Amino acid sequence: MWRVVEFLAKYGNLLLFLFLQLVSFLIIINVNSPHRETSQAVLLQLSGKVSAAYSSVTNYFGLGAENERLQAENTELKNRLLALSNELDAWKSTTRVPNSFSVLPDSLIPSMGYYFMPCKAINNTTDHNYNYITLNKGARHGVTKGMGVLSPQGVAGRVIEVSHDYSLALSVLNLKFKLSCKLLRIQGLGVLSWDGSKPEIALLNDIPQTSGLQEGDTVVTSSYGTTFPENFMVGRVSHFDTRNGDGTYYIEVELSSQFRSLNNLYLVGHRDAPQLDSLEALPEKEQ
Amino acid sequence: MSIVRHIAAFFLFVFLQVFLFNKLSLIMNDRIHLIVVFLLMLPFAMNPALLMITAFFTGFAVDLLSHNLFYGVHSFAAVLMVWLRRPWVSLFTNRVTFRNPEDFDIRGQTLSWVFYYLLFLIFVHEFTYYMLDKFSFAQFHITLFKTVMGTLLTLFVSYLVFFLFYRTRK
Repeated sequence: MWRVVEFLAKYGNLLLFLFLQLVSFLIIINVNSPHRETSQAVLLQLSGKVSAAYSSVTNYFGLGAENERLQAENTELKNRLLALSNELDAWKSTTRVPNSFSVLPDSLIPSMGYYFMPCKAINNTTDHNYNYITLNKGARHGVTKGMGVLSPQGVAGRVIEVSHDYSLALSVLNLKFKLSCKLLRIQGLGVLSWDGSKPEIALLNDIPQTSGLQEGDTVVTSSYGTTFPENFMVGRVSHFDTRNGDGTYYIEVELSSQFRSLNNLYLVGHRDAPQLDSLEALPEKEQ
Repeated sequence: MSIVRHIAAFFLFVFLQVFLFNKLSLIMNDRIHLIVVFLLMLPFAMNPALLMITAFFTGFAVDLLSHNLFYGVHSFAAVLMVWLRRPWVSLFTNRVTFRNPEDFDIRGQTLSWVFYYLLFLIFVHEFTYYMLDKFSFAQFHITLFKTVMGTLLTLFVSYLVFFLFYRTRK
C-alpha cells in the first residue's frame, strides 16, 4: 500500500497528463467525423493484418471440407452456365438477331451492371448485437463502400468501411443491417432485419396479411438498390403469425448462409453505383 | 491574484475566445488563441494536477461552445502546453531568478523573460492545434505556415494583454 502511494506521488502528474491527453485524443478521433474516418481506416489496417495472420492458421484446419464444398459449387455453377448459354442460344435463334446484343430481354439488363469479386472472411462474429465481417480485400483491389457480401449459400452482409488492404462488412446479424427483399413465389416486397436473438433467424417486415404467404417460401434479394442483384438467396420463411397489429405479418426467415462458418465469400459491386447513389441523394439535398 | 479573480478571468477569457477571437482570422483560418494567456498566467505555485485539470476543462469549454470546431483539439493542446510550462521555465531561466518553483512570480518578471516564456509555449500550443485540426501530414507546409502565423498573432495579442493587465511594476 505504501509502495502505491510512493509511486503515485512520484509519477502521479505524468500519469494524469497521459490520462488527460488520452481522453482528449479519444474525444478527437471518435466525435469528429473526418478524424473518425481517418483513424478507423488506420485501425482497420492494423486489425486486418492481425486477423489475416490468425485466420491463415485456422483456415488450414478446415481445408478438406472447404475443398469439397468449393468443388460442389463449381459443378453447380458450370451447370447453370451451360443451361443459361443454351437458353440464350435458343432465344437468339428464335428472334433472328445474329451476333448483336442490341435488344436484350428485360431480365438481363439490370444484372449487366454487377460484377463479382472473390474474397475471404478473416474475422467474423455471430454472438454480439453488432456483428461485423473483416474481409481480406480492400481499396487496392477495388472494393468500395456499399458493396454486397455473398456467401456460397446466400446473402451475408454489406461493406461499410474500406482501408487499403482490408474492408469491414456489416453482417446480416447486426442490428443496423437492413435489406430490401422479396418473396419469390408471391412477389411481395419487404425489409429484412435482425432482432439480435438467434444467429439463424432474421425478420421480414412490410408483407401485408393479404398476401398468400406459406411456410417454406423462399426469400430472395429484390431489384431495389445497388447492393445485390435480384433473386439471390436470402433464406426461407420458417414461421409467420399475425402478432403485429398493423396488418402486416410477423415473419421469421431462416437465413441460408452459415454464419458460424463463413470462409470463402464473394463481393458484389455495381458499376453504376456511384451514379445511382448521387442521383438518389439529390432530392434530399434540395429539401 | 486571488482565486475569485482567476475564476472571473476564466469566464472572461473563454467568452472572449469563443465569441470574438474564433470569428477572426487573418489568412487561411489561423486563429488568435487568447485562452493561452489565461492558462500561462496561472500561478506557478498551483498544484500541477489541478493545473492540468483546469487546462483540460478550459480547452473543453472552448470546444463545446464553438459550434464549428473539432471537439477535443483545444483540450489536447492546452494540457500539453501547461505540462511543458515548468520544464521550459526551468530550462531557460537562470538559477538566480528561478530558485524556488513555489515562490516564482510570473507577473513580476521582465518583459523580455515573458516574451520567451510565451513564445515557446504558444508555438507548442499552435503547432499541436493545427496538426490535430488537419490530422494528416498532407500539405504540411500549409500547416506549418498556419502555425507560424497563429503563433505570431497569438503572441502579439498575449503580450499586449500581459503588458496591460497582468504586469506588476516593481
